[in-house]
Amino acid sequence: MGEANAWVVVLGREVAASDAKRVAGAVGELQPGVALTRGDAWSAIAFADGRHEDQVEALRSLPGVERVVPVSAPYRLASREVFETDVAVHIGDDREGASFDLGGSAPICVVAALGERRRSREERVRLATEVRAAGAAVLLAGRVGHGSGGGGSDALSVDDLRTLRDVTLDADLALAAEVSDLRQVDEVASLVDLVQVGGASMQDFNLLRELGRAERPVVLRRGSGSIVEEFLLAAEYVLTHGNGRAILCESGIRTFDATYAPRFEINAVPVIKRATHLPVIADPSHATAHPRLVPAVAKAAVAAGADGLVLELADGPSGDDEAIGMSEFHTLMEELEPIAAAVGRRVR
Amino acid sequence: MATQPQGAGTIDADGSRPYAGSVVDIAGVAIGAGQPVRVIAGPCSVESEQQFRETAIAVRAAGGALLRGGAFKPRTSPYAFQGLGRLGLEIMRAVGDELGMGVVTEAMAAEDVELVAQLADMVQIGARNMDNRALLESAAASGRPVLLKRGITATIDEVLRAADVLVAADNDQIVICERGSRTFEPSTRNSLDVAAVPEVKFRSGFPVVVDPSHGTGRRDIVEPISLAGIAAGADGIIIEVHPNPPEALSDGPQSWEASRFGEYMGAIHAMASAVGRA
Repeated sequence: MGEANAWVVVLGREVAASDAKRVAGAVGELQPGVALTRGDAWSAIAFADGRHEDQVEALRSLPGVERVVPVSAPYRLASREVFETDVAVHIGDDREGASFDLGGSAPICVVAALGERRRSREERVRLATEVRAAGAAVLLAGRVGHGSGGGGSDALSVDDLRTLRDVTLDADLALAAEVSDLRQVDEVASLVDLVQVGGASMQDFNLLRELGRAERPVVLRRGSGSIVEEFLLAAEYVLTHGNGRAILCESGIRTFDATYAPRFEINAVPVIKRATHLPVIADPSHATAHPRLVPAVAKAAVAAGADGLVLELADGPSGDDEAIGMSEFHTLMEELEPIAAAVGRRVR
Repeated sequence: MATQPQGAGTIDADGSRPYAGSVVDIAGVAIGAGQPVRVIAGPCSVESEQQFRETAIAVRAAGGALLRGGAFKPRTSPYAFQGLGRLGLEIMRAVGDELGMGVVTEAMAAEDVELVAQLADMVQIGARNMDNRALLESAAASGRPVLLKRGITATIDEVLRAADVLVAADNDQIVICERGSRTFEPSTRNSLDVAAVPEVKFRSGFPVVVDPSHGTGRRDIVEPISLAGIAAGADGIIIEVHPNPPEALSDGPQSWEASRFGEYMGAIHAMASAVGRA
């Protein structure tokens, strides 16, 4: 790391609202417009360049301030310089049903993706029960579109999401869905436990700002042409606009080799983990686009330190697309356990 | 969906895979299907007898299976250390014999293959030479097993075609090495293609080893990437180890410290046990 270019004021776990407000006011005098970012067990404020030690000294003695940390990485709140140990994100905070930590020292979290196919309620109940029994913790429903899903779109409607919410509540699964239109953020966030941003939207900065104001954890996928630094800066958008609960998902990058496009970038898992305290999950399904490669790459990701996996599942046997069949999923879940144990983790 | 390229690599036209389950023997060490995960370790370049011996002793003590070292060095710059040549080979042979370990080293030119094959137990074809047909044919003709490294921008198809050249020259004692390729990402030297591990094994049947040193270029992620390779089914690891990486004449930033090699091997052993291949 080079010269510090910013500061992060870290507030204690049990900070009183009045203290947080006073600290925000004091930082605001140094740099107008800064916002308080809330994580699960932390809150913090980042502010910019050119402030020397003597100017931040006064902040250190304010009630509620735990530390004031100089940061040299281009991203600030996301930087490993702020928290030396991994920080977990809590999933399922203010509703009944699934409730657990992702990242930190929590077990490996498996997200079951069922594509955007429209299914009957009965099918959804059966699949949710089945993936929960196999050890998945989250159901990723797909991308939410407008209207009823007609007009050639295979996106989910908000009504689909309502059904899925009931189904996942019953199955003790958390629910995730992807949003790409910032006008839908509030409605979708009210129905799901995690909001996903697809790789194509990774640098939709207005969407990221909106998610910074959302009260749900955000799963941010790496764009297939984005370098790690850009990925972390995209997460910083969410963080610095107030939402401390960002989760990074490595989803593959584009390379010269189009045979198995895209390529799962295994190096990114430890590179990102070293750069940030945020949870890092991996999607071997999207990133290999071939069911034959998914189990090996999923195991590799856990061995390399991933905090979770997104696995695309087929209703029946492995299909023509990237989805693996239920029996392969069961086998993989069993094989993941000793691999996680070898790196000091468990699978939920 | 990815289509299965046909007629490339060592899949026969009828779809059968004559090399499925291959095991390659290198100086009594078996690498491949059903064998334990093997670790090939040593310095990028042989710099001196003392440097190679010190590294080799650390490798052997920690449970490394084979020694690696470079005598003929394909360096990006013509001004960089080019290797000790014949002297380097002789040092490797002497230390290998002293410790009872086989050695693996690169041949850079067809005319060097005879000498390399005489002094080493396995001939390595480097990433830059993956398409060097004359070199491939000489290496095949040497009768030694061949470690074939995937080129820096080679597709899986292309590395399997290079293996076909070896097979056509009557040498099927082939181990393929995934060592990362060039991508747009600047935080690492190369990007290891971990999916290539199961895919090369599936399509060719030849044993696959992973090179986490070149695959990352960063010592701080060499260990997790080694573990990832093993979890993905690699038959072995080839890793650069040096007694004093900051002073190394080549590849210092990606070389593992010899004094900490036992620690590394502990993690490797745990992961190999997890996949039933300790």
